[in-house]
Amino acid sequence: MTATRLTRGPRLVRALVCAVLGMACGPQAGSGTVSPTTGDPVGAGPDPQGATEGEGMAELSGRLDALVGRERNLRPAAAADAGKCEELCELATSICSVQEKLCDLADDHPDDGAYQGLCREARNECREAQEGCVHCVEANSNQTLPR
Amino acid sequence: MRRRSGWSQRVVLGAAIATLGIATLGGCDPQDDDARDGDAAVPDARVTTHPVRSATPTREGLAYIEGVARIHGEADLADDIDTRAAALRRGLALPVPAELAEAEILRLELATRLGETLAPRPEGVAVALDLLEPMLDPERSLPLDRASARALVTLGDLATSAGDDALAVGSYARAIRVMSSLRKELER
Repeated sequence: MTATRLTRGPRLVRALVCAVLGMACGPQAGSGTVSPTTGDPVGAGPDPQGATEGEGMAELSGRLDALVGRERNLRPAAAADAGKCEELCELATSICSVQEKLCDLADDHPDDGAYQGLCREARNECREAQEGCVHCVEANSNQTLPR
Repeated sequence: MRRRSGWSQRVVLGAAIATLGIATLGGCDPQDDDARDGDAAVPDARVTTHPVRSATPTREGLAYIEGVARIHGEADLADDIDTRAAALRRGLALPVPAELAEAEILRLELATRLGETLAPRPEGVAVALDLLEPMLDPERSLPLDRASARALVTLGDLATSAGDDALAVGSYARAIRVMSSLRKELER
């Protein structure tokens, strides 16, 4: 029972945080831990049952408050970062699309150093931009996912 | 002697007319320009940018921005190329209020859209090139904005249609450099 509660605790916190974040959690994350609520505010659910359960809920409630506060602080930064990643990835797509046009033309001038040099430069920019997009998305998802 | 002199004059005059005619005819077709330049045409990928300053909003500035938005709305609703092009030309003719830095971007967007509108027409590519080339001259500093990159890509596409590979490659390379600068700004 205790072991079950120990594993249920973090799940409950994670599920509640997910609900607050409005993120699409997998069904497993909340299964068997959170009862459907009837619009009660977070933390205003049924009273704890038994001494151990009460301690657990109080502890969880405190941790939840802390997490909610942390999430509130992170939300603007995360949203800004998500917007930044979107812009970076859009730029990467555009850069690579223009690079293709440029290099297609450069293929018609295989012996012209200027064309070939610009095509190489464009390829490098495209690669760098794609890497920047991937790094941004990875960093953003690491920052916003609850641990 | 006098007669010879008359012939000479006629020959010189004829040659001058012929030269003028060839030059004029050549000037009508950008592909002929390229043919004259031959392989000597080198892509010019120079690009200088300046940050976009946000101006203090004024009544005139706001009226200009609303006017341009109205023009884009009219262009959206236009059924044919001529009506759309006419609307966009009216937008480019709107007097720009002093100290409205954003106007530079709005004008680039109007010119880009006009260029894209004209491109499908047989004579449209040359007209669009005449419009966009001076606005995007490598000697001119461009606002560091996506509008500059979009305009350069459109210029590249038009140049490709006209068979001017050097202008096309130079424009694409400049567009990539502008977008790369924007990317670096974001990553800071």
